[in-house]
Amino acid sequence: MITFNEILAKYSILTWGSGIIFIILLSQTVLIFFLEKYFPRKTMLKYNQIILDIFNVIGIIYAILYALLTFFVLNNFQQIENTLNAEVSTIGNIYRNMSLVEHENNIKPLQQQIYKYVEIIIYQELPYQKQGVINVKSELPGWNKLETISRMILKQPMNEFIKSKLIDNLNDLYQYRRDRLNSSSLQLPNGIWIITVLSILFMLMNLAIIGCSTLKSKMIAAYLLGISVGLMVILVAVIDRPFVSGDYINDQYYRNLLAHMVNMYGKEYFGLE
Amino acid sequence: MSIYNYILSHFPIWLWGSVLILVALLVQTSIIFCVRYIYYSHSEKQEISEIGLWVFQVTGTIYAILLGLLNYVALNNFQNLKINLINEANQIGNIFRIIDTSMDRTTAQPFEHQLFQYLDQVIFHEFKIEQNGYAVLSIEQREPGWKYLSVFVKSIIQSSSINDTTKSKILDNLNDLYNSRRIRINHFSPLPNIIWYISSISIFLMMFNIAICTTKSIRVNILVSYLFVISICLILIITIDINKPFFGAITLSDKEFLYVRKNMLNVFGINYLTDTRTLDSQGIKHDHFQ
Repeated sequence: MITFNEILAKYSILTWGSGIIFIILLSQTVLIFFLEKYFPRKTMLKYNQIILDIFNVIGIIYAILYALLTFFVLNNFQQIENTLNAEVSTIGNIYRNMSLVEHENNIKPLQQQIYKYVEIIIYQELPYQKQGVINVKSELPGWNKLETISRMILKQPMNEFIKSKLIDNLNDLYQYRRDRLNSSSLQLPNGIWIITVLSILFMLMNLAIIGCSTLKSKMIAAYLLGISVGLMVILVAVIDRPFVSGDYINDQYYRNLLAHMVNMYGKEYFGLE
Repeated sequence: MSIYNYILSHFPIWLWGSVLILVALLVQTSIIFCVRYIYYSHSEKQEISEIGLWVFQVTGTIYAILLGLLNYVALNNFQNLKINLINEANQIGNIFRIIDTSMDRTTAQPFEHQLFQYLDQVIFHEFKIEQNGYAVLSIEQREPGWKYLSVFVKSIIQSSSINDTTKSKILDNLNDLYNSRRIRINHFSPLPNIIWYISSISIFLMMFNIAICTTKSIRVNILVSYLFVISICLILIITIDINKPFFGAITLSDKEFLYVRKNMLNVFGINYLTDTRTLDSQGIKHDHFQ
């Protein structure tokens, strides 16, 4: 069975977003016609005040819930961006501190390994994270490369304080890397989504039993609410899965770092054409 | 540079803000007349007005909170970036102080000169480019700054007249300086584009909603709708402006960097900091840079 993450990764936001709104509007229409049998809109006219008062209260409760959910996922989104930025900064620090090693022959292999590590992130890990399939196997090349870099640093004869700085930087890098990899699986718990979907259903149902002399007014009001709530769901879903849905978390930070390295030392230094 | 950034950086806020409000009012007017075309009978108008008002209250609450929080997030980012700028300027000041207090004048001058050049590069080139609408500096725009720093780091490390403790302290400050610098030059838009797209569609829906709420009288309809549109646009304008911290009406200034620069000049004077040569032990002047 296809998961929500796979849908997000496979289709554009326009496609799945329209799908969500279409499903909401369809459910709305079905609900209105189904409830019309048991609660005819002309009979319900006299209960309108009570229904609309209740609708108002429930609506405001859910309105606050959706807005806070959006705020919560937006906060997470920004934390992920900060983690990426911190990871790039730490790689940059390691790269720079490596250039302080005394003998030039010892610097080149270390810096080449760092370059390859950034390439692994850009061309292997981030695409996997975007597809939502990051796992032990897809993480392995990156971890191996980092292990190689750590060993090379430890074995390399160099000034003790530079070595100490490099080890500190490496510890930070391990931490940020772990945070980045974990962040691709961080998302709102399924329970919250179930409650959200149910709450939408209740709101739609509430509006579907409102008394009205014409169906047109009821449909317009119901569709307005349906589209508004649908848009909120799309927004929360996109920001909740920043790696999977679109290019909201991108590899630009890493690409800038590679460009900076090439600019400083030239393509030949890293064995590029 | 995108058209969006160009408009925000090259036109005053009152101009693009007024255009935005004007466009929104035009759209609102068309919506009002469309709604009045759909609802021509008096009883229908009254009915949709009542139901529409309830829907408006619910969706209005969602967007009111959402817009408020978006404004808060944008403001928070603005504040963080400001703190980052202060940190960056402080790190430069710290490095300058360490060099000044731990070395004799002849040893310190080339380093102070290099640092001063880097500071000038930030103030007179990078900051100006950022204020001109480039939120993220391109490789070509950022590279001179990196090169000044690299030359500085290398000369510090290769210098045999600086002890390891001083080198270590300078390196710590440099790491922080690099981090702050990277945050400044890589500053992407803090709010993802999807938020703007969805907010725009939602505001359009709200405009439609308010148009159906007050269909009984055209005058009231137009007055209330316009009030709503102008209020929403004002919030949008302020959020858009804060979301781009380097340009617009509410902007980050380079005064922290200028303050450090002024301090450097006050202590040593322009000749000392801009002299590209230094005295060796025999009193002969040599170039700092190869």
